[in-house]
Amino acid sequence: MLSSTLTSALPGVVETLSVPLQVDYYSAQLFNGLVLGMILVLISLGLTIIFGLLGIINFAHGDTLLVGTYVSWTVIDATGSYFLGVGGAIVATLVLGMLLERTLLRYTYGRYGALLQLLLTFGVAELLRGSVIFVWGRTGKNFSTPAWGDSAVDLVLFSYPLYRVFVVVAGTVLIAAVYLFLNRTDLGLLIRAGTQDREMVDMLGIDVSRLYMVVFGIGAALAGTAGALIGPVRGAFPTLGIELLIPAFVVVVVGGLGSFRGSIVAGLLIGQLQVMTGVFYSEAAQAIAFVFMAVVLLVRPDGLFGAEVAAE
Amino acid sequence: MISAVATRVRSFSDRVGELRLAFVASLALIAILPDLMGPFIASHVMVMAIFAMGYNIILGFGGELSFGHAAYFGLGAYGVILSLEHLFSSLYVAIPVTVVAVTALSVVFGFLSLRRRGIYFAMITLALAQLVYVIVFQWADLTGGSNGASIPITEAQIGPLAPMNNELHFFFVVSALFLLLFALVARVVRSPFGRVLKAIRESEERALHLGYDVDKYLLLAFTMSGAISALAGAIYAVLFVFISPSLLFWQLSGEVVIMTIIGGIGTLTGPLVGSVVFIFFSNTLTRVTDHWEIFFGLVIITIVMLAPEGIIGLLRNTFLDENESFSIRRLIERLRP
Repeated sequence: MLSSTLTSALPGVVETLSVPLQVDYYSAQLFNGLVLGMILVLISLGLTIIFGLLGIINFAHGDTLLVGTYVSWTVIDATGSYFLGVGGAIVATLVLGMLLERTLLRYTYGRYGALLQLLLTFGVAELLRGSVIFVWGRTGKNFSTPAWGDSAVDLVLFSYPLYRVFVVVAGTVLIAAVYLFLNRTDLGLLIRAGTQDREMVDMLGIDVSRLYMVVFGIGAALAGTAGALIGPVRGAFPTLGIELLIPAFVVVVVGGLGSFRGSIVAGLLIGQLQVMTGVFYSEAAQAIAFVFMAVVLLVRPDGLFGAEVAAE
Repeated sequence: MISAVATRVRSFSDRVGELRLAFVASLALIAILPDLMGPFIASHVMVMAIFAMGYNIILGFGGELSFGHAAYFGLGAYGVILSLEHLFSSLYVAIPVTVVAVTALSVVFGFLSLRRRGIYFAMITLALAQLVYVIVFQWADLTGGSNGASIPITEAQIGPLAPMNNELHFFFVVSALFLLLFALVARVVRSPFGRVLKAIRESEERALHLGYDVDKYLLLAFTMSGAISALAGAIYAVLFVFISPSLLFWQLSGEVVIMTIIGGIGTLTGPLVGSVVFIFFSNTLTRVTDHWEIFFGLVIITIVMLAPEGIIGLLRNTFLDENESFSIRRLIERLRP
């Protein structure tokens, strides 16, 4: 059940091993690494902005992603439109995130430390996964690639499935959108200010608690979008969320929690590292991210970009 | 009514000492377990109680939340099976050797994880444990991979007791071991080392400025908890005969946290009470519903929101001196971002 690994995120890695030493093969693998990296960046960005403002590390993030995957599957199944599916996943996880913040996390601020908040989100993760299993069943769903994504694009050196090119483009657009939102809008300014000094923003008469809700919703929606994007690549099955959450933790530890830049660099790096290791020594593909994390911790305990030690 | 009972309990506890009270209460609880749940499940409870007690050293007394203790538990289980298969014929050689080996690993992992604290510590312990899971899973030639592994048939007579053939005898042995470890942990917690550990839990910064090598103390606590977890895992393998890589998965790491919290973190009886409640609850749930995750999630949420002190913590608040549970509350409120 848990055997599907991150490298099988990109089926084709093992099969194509028999025709090595070709430029097109390796460049296609580089692109596979980019796809995985994009997904990891999206997941870790959600984790990181939630952590930045609320100081919570959200263990339910992976299962929020799972909800996104399944909701998009259902919408696509019903309407036949892939983009409606992505939209459905975004809306559903946005609402889910805001609800969670309003109903549960709200009551932990100031009362409990990060330790219990983490456990609370662990409970939420179980509840979400249980509910997904309750609604959609324990066996996975076959997630077909949208019709337009089946064709291959000629990228000069190699041809590559259009859908995966779309994932990379969509991921880039989303990351840019989040960046612009945080840096160019008033709400983004408030969020950044709140990340630096919550009390001060509160004292300036801004409703920080509403800010919390919005940020939790956005973080959850990022996970939900990642879930919808990865659906056609991996399929939908109940442990998908957990499997992606743990490498995302590695990404935020390596990148430095709360660091936007760190998440992007570390996410792309680890995606590439995992796929490339898979090419040369597939047994180590899953382990390599953890080994990399251990090395980074030894050399730079605060992560590659983490100067601030906010959580301690 | 409650206050009258509380006064009596308090005076009784003052007379006999809280530690003795805890020990006797544990003994009484253990004594009724086989009748309550049958000897096999009672043994399971005791194994998990040992695990949770080991875990409690780092969470309850060290104040750091590890989310990767399944690694030590699972490696203890795999270690005992593999060493029986390839190295030794006696269980009583295989178990100590396994525990020593896993303890050595927990020193390395502890060192890495303790580079950071709080949330980071939790995530790093989790990631390192997943590393172990992935390796055990992938190294199918040695470990059996997803098929799991089973323990070779061994003789393990201890005097008149035959724990391998008789479930009740097994229960006696594992309970005796639990009580031994209970005494050991109680001793450690009250030792100078334990006091420094408590000081670190209350305020790491202050302990640091008082000149204590905080990292070293926490690493020692982490290692002890890793060693006890490995021992629990080894016994688990003997009890269940068959094991699978899910023993190393983060689910179990989460479960031991929950067990410890249900009972009461930072208390001596908490882990036992927590595992009794948890095992009873999860056995009942898996019997009556296919959707245990939903209920498991709801239980975690309820406990965290309403009673993070756990059962023993609540009892203590009601009946005993507030002082001790005050520090537990500090632990709960700690790590506030």
